Amino acid sequence: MTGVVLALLLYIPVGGQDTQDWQRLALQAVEERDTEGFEQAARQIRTVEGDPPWLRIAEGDLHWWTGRHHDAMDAWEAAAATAGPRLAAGLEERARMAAERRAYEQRLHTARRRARAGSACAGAVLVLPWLALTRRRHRS
Amino acid sequence: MNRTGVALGLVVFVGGFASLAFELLAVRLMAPYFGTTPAIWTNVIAVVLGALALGYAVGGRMAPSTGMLVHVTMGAAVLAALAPPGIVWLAPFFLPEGLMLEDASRILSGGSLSASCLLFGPPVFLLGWIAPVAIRLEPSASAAGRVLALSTLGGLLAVFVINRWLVPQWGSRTTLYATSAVLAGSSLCLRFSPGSIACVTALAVAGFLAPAVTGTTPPPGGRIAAAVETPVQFARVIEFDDGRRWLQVNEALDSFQSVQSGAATTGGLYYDALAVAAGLTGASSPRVVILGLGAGSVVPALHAAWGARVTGIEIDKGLLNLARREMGLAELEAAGLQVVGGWDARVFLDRAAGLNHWDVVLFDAYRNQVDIPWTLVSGEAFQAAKAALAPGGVLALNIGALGPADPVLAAVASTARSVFGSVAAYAVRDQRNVLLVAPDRDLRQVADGTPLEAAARNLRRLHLVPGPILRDDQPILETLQAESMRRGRDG
Repeated sequence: MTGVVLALLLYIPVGGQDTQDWQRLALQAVEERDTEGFEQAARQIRTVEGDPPWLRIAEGDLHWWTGRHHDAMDAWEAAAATAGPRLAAGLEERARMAAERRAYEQRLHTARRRARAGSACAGAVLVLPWLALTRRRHRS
Repeated sequence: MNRTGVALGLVVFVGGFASLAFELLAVRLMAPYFGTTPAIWTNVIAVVLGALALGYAVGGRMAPSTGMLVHVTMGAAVLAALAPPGIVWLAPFFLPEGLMLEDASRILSGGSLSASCLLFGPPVFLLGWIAPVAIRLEPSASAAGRVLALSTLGGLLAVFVINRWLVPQWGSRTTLYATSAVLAGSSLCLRFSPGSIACVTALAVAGFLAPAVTGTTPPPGGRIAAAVETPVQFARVIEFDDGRRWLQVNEALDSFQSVQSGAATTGGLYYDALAVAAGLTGASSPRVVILGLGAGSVVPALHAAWGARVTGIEIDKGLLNLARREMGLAELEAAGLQVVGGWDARVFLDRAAGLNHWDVVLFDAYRNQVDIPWTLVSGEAFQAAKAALAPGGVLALNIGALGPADPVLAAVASTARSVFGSVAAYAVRDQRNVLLVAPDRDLRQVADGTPLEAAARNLRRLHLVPGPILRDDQPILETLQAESMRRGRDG
């Protein structure tokens, strides 16, 4: 993934000196998981370039590494809608990562549901027999 | 006392032994999957007490007979024997492969409650029948007191022998089958039958043939090189295709306690960050004590970067023996590492307080994967650590945290600041580890020109948020850890 982040450098359209500096800072911020630094650089880049797909991808990468997986997947999907063929390989790897994450969350959801159901059954097994015993005593 | 009275007494005593044994073994059998956190213990104790209470109530309503007591005892023994294969099937049902620790926290609690209820509720329920039935079979004035005393004494014996002697010798599965066989065998004193003998024999044979506990499926590319049950915990070594080895304890999931990489550093893992802290004192060959040595993953870097003189404290001697055999700890000892085994780190700190001997105290002690022992991060523990440090010495702690606002990190950092005057926090990139350094020092240039230079660059300074001060008499750390896991789970 780190290599893929750095590879984005190759696909960034060359701008002026200031723009290039902000581009480098943005990617460096992704490397360092520095959210504030990235937002500052992204603001400057968007002022000049609009919202280029490579920046969306980098933003998604930062979300990914800081545990905000759904924001990451949204950013990558938005980038895929406008990205050219040069970013296809990077987006393909991210699509694979997103698919793995969705499968993981599905497994997690199933496991949580089972644990909840199991806990409820265990609680019922420990409590309900007492109700039955109490009722039987009243009848006798 | 007549012969039947003696036989009844034996069944009651063994029944009491088995009740406590099944409770302790339930936690042991589930530890490789669900851990041994306070929540797991609470679940198991609740299930055992609930099942016993229900058994007392139902058993007291049954018409008493010796034959019924034999069937109940046999039934409890056979049902308990289903637990070892049962947990192997149930654990993956509740806890699928590949879950991350913070995601699994609620599942660990719910899964352990469900599994303990299904596997240990029925046999303990039947064990609850024994005392009321035995009391009514021997209707003398002292029968109730005698039965309760014998049952409790049986439990007392189990408390001493299960975890201290039987499990470390035989493993939890064999111990459970042996307990079941003895339980079934005790009923032979009441009534002798070929079926009963066959049952006892089958349980005993199962005990001999029971495979060792190995825990969950190893991570991709890894295989289980060794697994042991020590008096303290379940531990195993995972070997990967590239030669790396992980030491895992209890509920391992995607986490590990120690690594062996064969190199001076661990390739950017948090152990390297801990080793960076030893360069802060500027002492040549600093004296470093590690609280929670494990397999000593941080020691090669301490030797290579600083020529440190290292002492490691580890509470679990069984873990040390495994690490010597499988994780290269013996080679580290040959290279000068001093190991103090069987000592609780807090007891060690209290005894070391006032010595002003150590340049660096490195804290890396965990129960299970994520639980920091609260006695090690209280203000009193940090006072002892401060008094154990030489002038200019530093305390460095590895804290599992999911961000700068993590409640455990905030509390431990605030507590350290209250004792040392200042504290710094550094996140290790892409890991859920934060390095705390007290007093505050800048780590980022200290390792330039050493094998730890890259590790220091992987550190990012965090802005800490205030938290509560931890005290020995206010152990709120477990609550904070639960909150930390909840935040990690909910994002």
